[in-house]
Amino acid sequence: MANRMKEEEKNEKIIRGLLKLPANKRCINCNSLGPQYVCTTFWSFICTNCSGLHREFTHRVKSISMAKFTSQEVNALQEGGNERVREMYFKEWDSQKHSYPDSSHLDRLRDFIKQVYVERRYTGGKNIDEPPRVKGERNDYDENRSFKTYRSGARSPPYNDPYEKHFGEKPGSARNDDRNSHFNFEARSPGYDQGDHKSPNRFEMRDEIPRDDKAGNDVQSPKSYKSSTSEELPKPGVSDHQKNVYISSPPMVRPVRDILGSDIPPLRVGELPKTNSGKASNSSSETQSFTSSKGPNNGNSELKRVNSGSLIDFSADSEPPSSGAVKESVPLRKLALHLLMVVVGHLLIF
Amino acid sequence: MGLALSRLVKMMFVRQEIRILMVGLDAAGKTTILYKLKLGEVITTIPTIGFNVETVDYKNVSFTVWDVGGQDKIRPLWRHYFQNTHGLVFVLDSNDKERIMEARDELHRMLSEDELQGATLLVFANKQDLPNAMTISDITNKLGLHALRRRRWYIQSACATTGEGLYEGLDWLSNNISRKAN
Repeated sequence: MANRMKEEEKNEKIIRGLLKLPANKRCINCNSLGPQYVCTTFWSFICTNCSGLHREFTHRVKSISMAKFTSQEVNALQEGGNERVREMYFKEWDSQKHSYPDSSHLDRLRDFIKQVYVERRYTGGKNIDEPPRVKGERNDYDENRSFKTYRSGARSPPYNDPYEKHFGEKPGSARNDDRNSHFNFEARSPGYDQGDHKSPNRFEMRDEIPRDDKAGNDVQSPKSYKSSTSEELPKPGVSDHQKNVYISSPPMVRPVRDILGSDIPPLRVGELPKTNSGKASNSSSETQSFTSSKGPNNGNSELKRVNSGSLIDFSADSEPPSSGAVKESVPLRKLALHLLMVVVGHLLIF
Repeated sequence: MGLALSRLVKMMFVRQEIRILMVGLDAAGKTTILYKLKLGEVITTIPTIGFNVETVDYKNVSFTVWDVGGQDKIRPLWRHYFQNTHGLVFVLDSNDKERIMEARDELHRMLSEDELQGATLLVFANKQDLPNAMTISDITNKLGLHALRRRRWYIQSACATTGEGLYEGLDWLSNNISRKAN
């Protein structure tokens, strides 16, 4: 224990020392003073903003003060550092010709990071060996992403009585969701579907936008929106809003959001019928399927509206009251009164 | 009858409040999830030092979600947020094969704490959109979830940037936590 502490201290000291080298005194991307983070994909010293952006490209970052570094990492950092990274990734980048992106312009900064590390625009045509810890999997960021198996989830065995000793052997004995007991990963398609909560079908979804080709254009092809939302989902204002965001951003930026734009609605919409049909006889299915059909963007007001619509089957129990309930309380009260009167009537008859 | 009536009344007036603690290794996507739920947007995040907290109203439930920074030196601070936690959300980067054992250790360490004995566990297997993401079954095994006893748990595949899976997770939480409280 004490040894490890010592090693940690030693490592931190070495890193603090490295920070004093002239090249490491500034963020390699935006030239701001006093980098607080290390990008362990490239072994460069970067500022906080850049660390956030690097993460979007699945590059790994570590805070110098909030993370522990192993000796191997420290070695790699000693061999790497901003000077070395500059030799590789900034070879054709001329500080006279080009200017550093401003660290307060996140869009530009993101653009820049993408050009330098993902597109490798300034490496001088030389094929760079994979940087020390970059695995292949970290770099295929620009590939078409595909949603393979979304409807998935496992869960605890039926859990009714914490003191029931045998639930391991007899799962499902207490509840009707005994499908849990059949979890057999090998027998299922990758990302097996879950037992009782979601649709039994696999949900397939492919990213329809060929990313690289479109990146330079308006990434939000309206077509991809159409294909997804047209059927039943009233398009909420949010997607428009998103579009604006995209249009205002420079081309070739934020690949993460390309995906966002094209994928949200289809996933949600496609889910609706399945959730309904595939659900176990769960009394809450009505409300759940309604809400899960909403894009997460729709905001709460939207959710509430839909919910209150589904209150018709309020007599089904166990579903917690919907948030529209308060507003709807007057008709509900009437209904309750009516029920009460019916009961009293029956009592009187007898 | 009285039961049904009281249930009816409850349905009309009670607004459930659930306190959620969201933890996980750094860069798992906790903050992105939080703000995707809160704002419906993907925001540019920086590594969280300290915490973010937001209330997310969904259906009739008000979730108070605490998103606590996950870098290794500040993980010991997680325990200060344990008290009164109804639901523990553990966010995992499905693409990070190298650190999944680290994630498992952190998860099990946390679950052994007394203060979390009553807490329901939801695992978000985040970043499922990445091409090399581990499958849910793989993650379930590697995290040792099947070994958990006396714990209500659920693993949900998710993608914070598209919002996929997030509300399903909240659905599960609200159903399972409420049942317990009643």
